[in-house]
Amino acid sequence: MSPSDAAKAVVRRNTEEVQSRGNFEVFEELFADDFVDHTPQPNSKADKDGVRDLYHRLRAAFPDFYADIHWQAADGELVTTYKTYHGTHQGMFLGVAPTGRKIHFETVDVMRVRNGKITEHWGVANLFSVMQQLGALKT
Amino acid sequence: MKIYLFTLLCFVAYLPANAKDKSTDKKENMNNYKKDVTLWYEAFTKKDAALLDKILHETWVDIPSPPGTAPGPAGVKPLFARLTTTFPDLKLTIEDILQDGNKVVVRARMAGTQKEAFMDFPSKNRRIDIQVVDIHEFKDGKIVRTWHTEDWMSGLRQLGVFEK
Repeated sequence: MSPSDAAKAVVRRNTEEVQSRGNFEVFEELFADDFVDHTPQPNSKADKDGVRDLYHRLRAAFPDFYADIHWQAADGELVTTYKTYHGTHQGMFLGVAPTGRKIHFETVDVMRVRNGKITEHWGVANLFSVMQQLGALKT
Repeated sequence: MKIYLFTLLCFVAYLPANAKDKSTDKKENMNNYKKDVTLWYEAFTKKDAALLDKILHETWVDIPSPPGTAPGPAGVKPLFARLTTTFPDLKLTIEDILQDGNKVVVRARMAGTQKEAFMDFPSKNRRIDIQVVDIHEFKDGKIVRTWHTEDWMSGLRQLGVFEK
């Protein structure tokens, strides 16, 4: 496996096993202890603890949360993933009480993989679309 | 309509006006992609809409885009006009460019001051400064497809949309 393919596989494992299935043992394995999130969500810490909390909050809000990875690209240690997240809104999310609605939103992120560990993250999630789908944006 | 204005937001890439002749080998073209995409961001910042006609493949597709969007450069014109008039000081700043074959990833910041109504939301003269990630796919030396995401949730907070 080329270094790029190995890096992609690390990111894919996180998306599929941790984010989509809630396997947090794999999270501990994949994330470096000095991980830095360069684009943390509001009220989230920019470190490993912050990401773990975020993933837990997503799974609490959307218990069936899963990602559909459309493609990945790698340039050295940096892996870009384009994906769509899906889930059913059954817990509080961004201050919105559960609606039972099925939602989906696109996300693009870039992760640095060094020595098999995720060390950095930059990403944009289309949370605006989520709020629209939840009917949370008043005009 | 609101959804449309947001999904319209997109960032596509740029190819040199002086297209290389067809004898240029593919590898050389691919080596230019990282440089080529920077010029698109310059086009928005410099408000040079004429560049758009030169930079996109005639079949260019924006993802996501509102239903009925024309393919190719014509599809991006309404967006260009909208953004550059709503945010007259619009500035796109590239933070990183990555490449994997014919895909070029650009991380950038989009900043500007809202001077007109946007999505029916009247101007409070606030400044937006948000994270953007775009991926531009090349074919035959031109951009054929762009996937784009912008952090509009942060943007709307910055513009004061959620304030009472």
